[in-house]
Amino acid sequence: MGYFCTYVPEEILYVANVLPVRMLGSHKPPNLVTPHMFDMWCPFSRDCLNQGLSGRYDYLDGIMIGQSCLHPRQAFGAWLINVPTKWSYHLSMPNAVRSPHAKKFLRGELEDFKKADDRS
Amino acid sequence: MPRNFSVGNWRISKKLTTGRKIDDEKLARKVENTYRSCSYWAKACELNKAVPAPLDEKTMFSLYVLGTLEKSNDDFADFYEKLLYPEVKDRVANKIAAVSNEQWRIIGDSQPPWGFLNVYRYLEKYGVVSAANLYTFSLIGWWKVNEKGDLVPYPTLKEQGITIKDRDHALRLLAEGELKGKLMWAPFYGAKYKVDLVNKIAKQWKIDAGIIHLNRGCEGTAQHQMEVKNGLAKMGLPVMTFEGNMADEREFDEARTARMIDLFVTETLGLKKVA
Amino acid sequence: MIVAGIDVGGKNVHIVIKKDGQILGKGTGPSGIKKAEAVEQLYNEVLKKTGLTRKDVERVVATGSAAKRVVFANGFIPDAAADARGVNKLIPSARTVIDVGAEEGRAIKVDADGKVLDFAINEKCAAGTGTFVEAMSRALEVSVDEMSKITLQSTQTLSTNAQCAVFGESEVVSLIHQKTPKPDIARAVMNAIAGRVASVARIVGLDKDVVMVGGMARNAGFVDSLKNNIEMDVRVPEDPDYMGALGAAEAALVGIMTEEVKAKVLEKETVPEGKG
Repeated sequence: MGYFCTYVPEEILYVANVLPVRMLGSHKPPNLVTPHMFDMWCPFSRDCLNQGLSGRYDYLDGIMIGQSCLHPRQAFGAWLINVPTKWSYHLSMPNAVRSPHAKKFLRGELEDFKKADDRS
Repeated sequence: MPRNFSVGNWRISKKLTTGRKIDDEKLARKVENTYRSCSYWAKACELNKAVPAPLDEKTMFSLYVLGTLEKSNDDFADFYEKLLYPEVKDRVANKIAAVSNEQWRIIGDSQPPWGFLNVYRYLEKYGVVSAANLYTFSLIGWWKVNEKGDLVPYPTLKEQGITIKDRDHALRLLAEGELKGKLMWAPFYGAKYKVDLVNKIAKQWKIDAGIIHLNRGCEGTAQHQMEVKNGLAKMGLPVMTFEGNMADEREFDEARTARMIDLFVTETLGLKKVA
Repeated sequence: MIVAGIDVGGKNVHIVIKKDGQILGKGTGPSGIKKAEAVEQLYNEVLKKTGLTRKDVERVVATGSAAKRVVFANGFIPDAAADARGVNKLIPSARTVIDVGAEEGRAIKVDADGKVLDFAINEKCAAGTGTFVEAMSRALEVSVDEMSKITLQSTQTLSTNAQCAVFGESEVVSLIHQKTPKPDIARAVMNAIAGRVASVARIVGLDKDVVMVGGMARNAGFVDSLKNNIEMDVRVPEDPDYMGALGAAEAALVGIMTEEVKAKVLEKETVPEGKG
């Protein structure tokens, strides 16, 4: 399972016998990405998308994102449209982490993710 | 016994921390007003499906300001329901066009470069009217997708036959409207969702081409803009993009953008100046 | 009919004078700050070279970022449209035109008639323009022509910052201090620009034949890097930097005119004999 950002709970993936693969860029210019994600966006996110578009992650069974910022979110969305992907998941994360509701919110999200992971 | 209500991260008690009391009747009226403002703005935008379009986007930027500032205001809700909507309806009935020489209808995306709204007037010299934009429709407009898959305005509380019972009911209705009706969240629901929605708008509003402002000033509304471009192009519509920044005028090259518009309009769309 | 096409860019002016299907004369010169004067001077020079006077030229069409400086033009045409028409005249099979000049890089999708179907422009970024090459050649202490030649002598591929001209320049300086061979640095720079230009071109799609025009098309090192990047052949017509002017001349032949001129022509045509 490829994932875009650090918030993904790899523990849940491991328990489900899924190998989490953190998607990273390369050291080459992202040539294929501008038609899908224009240049103002974060170069790292664009480069991750470029790897998907170039077929470098074609061994993945699925991709997911633990919502962090809008830049990898762009890459995730464009990936889903342009790169054949069997399974995907968007895990929401609380923004207001100090809020008394944050833990409950995140726990609920993780439980939903676990159920989805089990079903897949 | 004071009751505490949670709406998201809010906790509203009978006495706010300011020590003031909540006027529940006023709250109910405000929520009703919000529904009216948001629904009737959407209805006015819906009327832009007419050919010729009764409103152009630059004018719409002036008209949506009231709702942007205070959609729960009594006078503002009355404005949308009792003044604007009937007038736009009248314009449609009498074929009063926003751009009298309407030749092509375009769709935009995201906010415009605010310091250079004359871009729209420049387009009008070619008979091009900007008739639709997910941002302009849904910043204050509430919408829903009906059984046929069409985008339609979200109904007011009156149209839904709902009378607010108590504070809890009012707050839940407010949350429901904001979450279900406000399609300005669409960019955050993923590329496919936004692309499908924009394509739907393009089809229903009879759009001929797209001109997309790649807006460096708002990462939220600028989500997935290149995929939106690709989606419109797959529908067979010619689309151009130009870079800019709604907030920073230094990032907009007016002369270059005018040249690009000239190229797009004269070459790709095949239009000549008619005004 | 004798016509003139004038392309006024940020750095250079190009002029082509045509009579029907034949080019009678052409010329180029710096556009400078006082562009209107530069145009006048060059136009007079080209006319003199071809043995013509202003009266001999029936129509003048201008193009380029400073086209409006051609105060005597009968008509104007957008620069990408001029490129498309110029290339279509010489290479009718062209479907993707890549124009990289001093200040702008653009990709144009054209149809069989030379009509612009789609375009993309390298906005807000000097890293895909000729200006970047000049800056890098200064850092390498070679001329632009020399830089083009040594690019083809490179023996290893270096990884460089392809995002920004400013960072790219400081990176070149670092490579020089590391005693990296100049050909390899030159190749890295050309690859970076080619990557930027290819990214823009992919927005419109790369369909054969891909034709490159503009001043950078004369840079063999850059064209080679571009071919490697897009993995396609790139055709370069003779005098590629004249394509805009040639296209403007073609537009003049078919009668592109401003509304004011059109009105005057119409008035002239409808005034009965003996009057006016």
